[in-house]
Amino acid sequence: MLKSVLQPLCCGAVAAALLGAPLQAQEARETVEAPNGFAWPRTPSLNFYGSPGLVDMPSAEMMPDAQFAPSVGWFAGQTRMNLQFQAMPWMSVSFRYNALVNQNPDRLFFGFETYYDRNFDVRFRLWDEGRYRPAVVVGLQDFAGTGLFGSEYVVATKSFDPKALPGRLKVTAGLGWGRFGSYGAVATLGDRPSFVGGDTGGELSYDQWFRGDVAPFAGIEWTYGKWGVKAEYSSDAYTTETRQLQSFERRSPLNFGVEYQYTRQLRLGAYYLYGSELGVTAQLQLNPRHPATRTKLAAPTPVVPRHTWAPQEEQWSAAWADSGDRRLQVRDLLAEALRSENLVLESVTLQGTVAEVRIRNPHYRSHTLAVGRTARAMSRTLPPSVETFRIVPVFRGQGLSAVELRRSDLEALEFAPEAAEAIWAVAAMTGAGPAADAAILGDGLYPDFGTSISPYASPSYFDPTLPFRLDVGLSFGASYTPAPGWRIAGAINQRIWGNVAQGRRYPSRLPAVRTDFHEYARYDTTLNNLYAERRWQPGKDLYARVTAGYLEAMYGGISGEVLWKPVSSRLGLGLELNYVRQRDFDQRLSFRDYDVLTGHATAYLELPKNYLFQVDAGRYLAGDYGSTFTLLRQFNNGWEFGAFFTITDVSAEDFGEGSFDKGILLTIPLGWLLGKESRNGYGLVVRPVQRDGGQRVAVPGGLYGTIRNAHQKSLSDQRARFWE
Amino acid sequence: MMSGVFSPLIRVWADGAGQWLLSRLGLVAIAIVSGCSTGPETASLEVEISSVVRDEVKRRFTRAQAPKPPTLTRALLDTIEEPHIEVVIEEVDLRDYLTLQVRRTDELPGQIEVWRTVDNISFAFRDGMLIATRGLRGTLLSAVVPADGQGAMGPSRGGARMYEVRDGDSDSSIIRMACEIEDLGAEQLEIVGLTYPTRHLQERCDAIGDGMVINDYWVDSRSGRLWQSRQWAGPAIGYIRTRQVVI
Repeated sequence: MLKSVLQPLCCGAVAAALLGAPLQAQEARETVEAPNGFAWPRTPSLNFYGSPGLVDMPSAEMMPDAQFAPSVGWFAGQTRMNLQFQAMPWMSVSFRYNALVNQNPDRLFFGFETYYDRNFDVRFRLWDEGRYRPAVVVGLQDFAGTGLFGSEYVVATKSFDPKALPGRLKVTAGLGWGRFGSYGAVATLGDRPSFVGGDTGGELSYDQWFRGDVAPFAGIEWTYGKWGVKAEYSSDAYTTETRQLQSFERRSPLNFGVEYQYTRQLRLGAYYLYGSELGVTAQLQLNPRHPATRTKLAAPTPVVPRHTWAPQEEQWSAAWADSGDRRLQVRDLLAEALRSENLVLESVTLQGTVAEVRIRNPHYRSHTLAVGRTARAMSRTLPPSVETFRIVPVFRGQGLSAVELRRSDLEALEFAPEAAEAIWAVAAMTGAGPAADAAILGDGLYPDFGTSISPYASPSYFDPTLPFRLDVGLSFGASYTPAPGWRIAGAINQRIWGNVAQGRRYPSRLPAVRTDFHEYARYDTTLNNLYAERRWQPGKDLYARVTAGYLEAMYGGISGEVLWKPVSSRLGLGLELNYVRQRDFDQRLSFRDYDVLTGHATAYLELPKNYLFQVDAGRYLAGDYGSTFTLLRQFNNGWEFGAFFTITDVSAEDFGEGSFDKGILLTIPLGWLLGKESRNGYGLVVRPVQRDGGQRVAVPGGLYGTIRNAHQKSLSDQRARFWE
Repeated sequence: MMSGVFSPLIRVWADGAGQWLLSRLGLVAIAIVSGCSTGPETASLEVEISSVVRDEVKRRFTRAQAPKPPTLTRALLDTIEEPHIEVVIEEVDLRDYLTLQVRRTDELPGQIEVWRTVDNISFAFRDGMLIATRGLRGTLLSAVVPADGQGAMGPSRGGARMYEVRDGDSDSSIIRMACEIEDLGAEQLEIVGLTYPTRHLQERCDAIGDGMVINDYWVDSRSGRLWQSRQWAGPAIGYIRTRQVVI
C-alpha cells in the first residue's frame, strides 16, 4: 500500500511532516452538511449612502445585529464616505462624510471648490419580513445640521426565491421626502424650510422631517452567488448638484448597477446613473462577533489530579508552609509556570491550605482566560495540601478582583460537559483589597525600568481644506516602577512627516483650550508627557490615583481620581479633579498663562446586552460647566462602538460650528484582526468638528477601564475562555 | 517534553481574511520603522504591530524550508517507544503525530486521554471520542459523548449528544444532536503494514434542522481498542481523522 521511499531522518529528533497524499484509506463517503454553528450571516448590499439599499435609494433591509459597514461611493464628482452600524437588530445609525466638487465656473459653492459635508442618519425597522408581508423601514437621512442631504422615507422590501430564476429577487418600493421627494412628487405635506449654508448646524432639523413634497421610488435587486444586479427609479432630482454645482446633467430617473462579492467582507459595485454618469462603490462589512482571523493560542497543560501523583497521605501534610525556604521554592516554581503562560507573578501568599496568587496579565485580552491559566499553573506547582486558590489580577499595584476556586473542582471539571459553566458555577468573585503582609513578592519585579520605541500617528479630521490630516513619527518612551503602585513615565515624540499644522484656523469666542492644536503641531521634537503616578486602594471597593507632571501634549498639572466600584456591582461612581495649566506650543517644559481647575463626577452603568452608559458632570477646560453623555456598545473581544455629546453653559453661538461637542468612539482590538492574543486595540475618537466647549484634559491611566475589565460582569461574560 | 521522532507540522492554520489583510498590511507596514520595548508593561499597539510584521516577514522567508515529508513504515514505527497517534485535519489536509500528555478518569464514565503536538495543539478524547481541542483556530470547548467506561472504546449507544464550541465574541455556542449508532460489521483494518480485526461503528447525529454529523470508529473486535476514527470537531475545524500508529 505504501510505495513511497523512506527518507532518512536527519538529526535524530528532527522530524517528519507531510502535506502530501494522505496515508489513511479514504472511504467513499456520503456528503452531508455539518452544523453551521455561528456562521457568517447573510448580509444585504449597500447603496451610495452606505445604507442597505439599491443604487441611490434605500431598501427596507437591515444588516445583521452589530454589523459595522464602512463604504465609499463615487459618482459625478461626489464622494460619499459612509460608516453604518447596526446598533440594535431593529435600528441602525450612520455617519457620512461627503465631498462635493464644484463645477460651476461662475460661482463657488459656499465659498469652496470642494465642499465637505457631514451627515448622521438613523433607520428604524417597523417590522421584519414575513411570509407574505414585506419588511418596512423608516429612515431619517442627514437629520441634524445643515441638511444638505436631508431626506426621510418609508420603504418596504420583499424578497422572493422564484422557481423560474436561480438566485434571489428583492423588490423595493417607498415614499420619500426632502431630497427623496424632489422628483416626481405626488403630494405635498406642509412646508419644508430650506437648507441654509453656513449655519452653525448641529441641531435636530425636526421642523423639516416628513414635510414638503412626497415622491415614490422603487427598484429591484437580483443576487446569484457572488453577483448582484440592481435597477431603480430614483425620486432624487439632484437640484443642488445639477444647478448650483453644475456637476452633472440628470437625464433620467433610472439607475442600473452590477455588484460582485469579492471576499466575505468586501463587495464592489459599478453603476450607470441618471442617464449620464458612471459610478463605483466599495462596501466593507465587518462584524465584531466574527473575527477577521480566529484566535490561535497554545494549548494549556491539563490539570493532573493530586491523587495520581501524591498517593501517600504524608504527602498531603501542610507542614511545608512553615518553612520560609520551602515557600520561596514554591514561589519560584509557580513564577516559572506562569512565565511559560505569558503571565507575571506579582506576589503570592502561601498558607497550608490556602494560596493567594496575584498576577499581571500583559498578554491576554480576557482576564478570565488568564485566571484559568493561573489556576492550572497553581494546580501543577503547589503542594497537595493547598485546596483553596485565590487568584487576583493586578494592574500597576492595584488588585482588581479575586476569583476563588477549589482545587478539587479544577481536578473534577476540566473535561466535564460545558466545563466552563461548571467551574464558573462553583467559583466565587470578591474584592481583592491590598495584598497581605505575608505576601512574597515576585522576584526581580521592583524596581523596574522599561523603554520603548514605537511609531506614532496623530490624525486630524474634517479640516474644510483637507478632510484628513496626519502627523507621523517616532515615540521614545521610558518608565520607572520603584515599588508597587508607583510609576514615573515619559515619552518624547519626534515627528518625521505631517501636515496637521497647515490646517485652517478658526477664531474662537472661548479660551482656545483645544483649537490651538495647529500651533502645537508646528514642532518636530516634543515632550509628549512626563509624569509621576501613584495608585492605591484606600478602602473596600475604592481605587485611587494621583498623577502629576506633563499629563498630555497641551496640559500639565496635577490630577486626582477616586473610583468606587464593587466587584459585583454594575454601577461605578468616580470623581476626578485636575488643576492644569496650558503648556507652551513647543511642548518643552514651559507653560502658557491659561490655567484652570477642571473635574467631573462620573457615573458608569453597565447595562444589559453589553451596553455601557456614562454620565460626567462638572467643569470643563474652558471653565464651562455641563455634562457629557456617552453610550458605548461593547463586545467581550474588545470591540467598542459608541457616541457621546456634551452640553455645557456655552451658547451655540459662542461654541461655533456644530453648536455643541459630540463625536463617535470606536475601538477595534488587535487580536480580532490578527488572531493572536493581545490587549491592544485601535482606538478612535472622531468629532465632526473640534471646538473649545466641553473639552477635557486627557490624563494617562484612567481607572475605570482597567478595573471594570477584571470585575464580575466582564469575567463572567467571558467564562467560556476559562479552560482555553 | 517530547523527544519523539516526529515533528510538528500543523503550523499556522490560517482561516482567511485576517491573514489576507495582514499580508497586505504587511507590505505597507514594513516601511514603518519597527518598534520594540523592554520592561514590565504591556507592549504598546505600535510595538505589537511591528512584531507581528516581523513575524510575518520571517514566516514568508522560511516557508520554503519546511521539512520534506517522509513516509511511515512499520520498520520506522518499530523504533519508536512512546505511544503516538496520527491526526489529520481534513479541511486543510494537515497531519501531525501526537504524544500522550495525560491519561486520567473523572466522575463520568470513560478514560480521558489528552494527546498533543510538540507545538502545543492538543486533542482530548473520552474512550476515544473527541471531547475537546486546544491550540487551533476555532476551539471545541467540550462535548458530551456516549462513553460507558466498560472497557471497549468508541460509542456505546445512541441518544443525545452535545458539542460546545467557541464563538467569535469570547462566548460559547452549543450544538445539540440526536444520534443513532450503527454497526457496519467486521472489517480488517490495515495501519502501516499491520492488520487488525475491527468492527466499524458509525454514529449518525442529526442537529435537527442545522445539518448532520457522521462519526466513524474502527474498534478492535477483541481488545476494544479504538484503532482509527473520523470525527467531527466543530464547525470551524471540521472533521479530523485519527489512527493509533504506536501503542
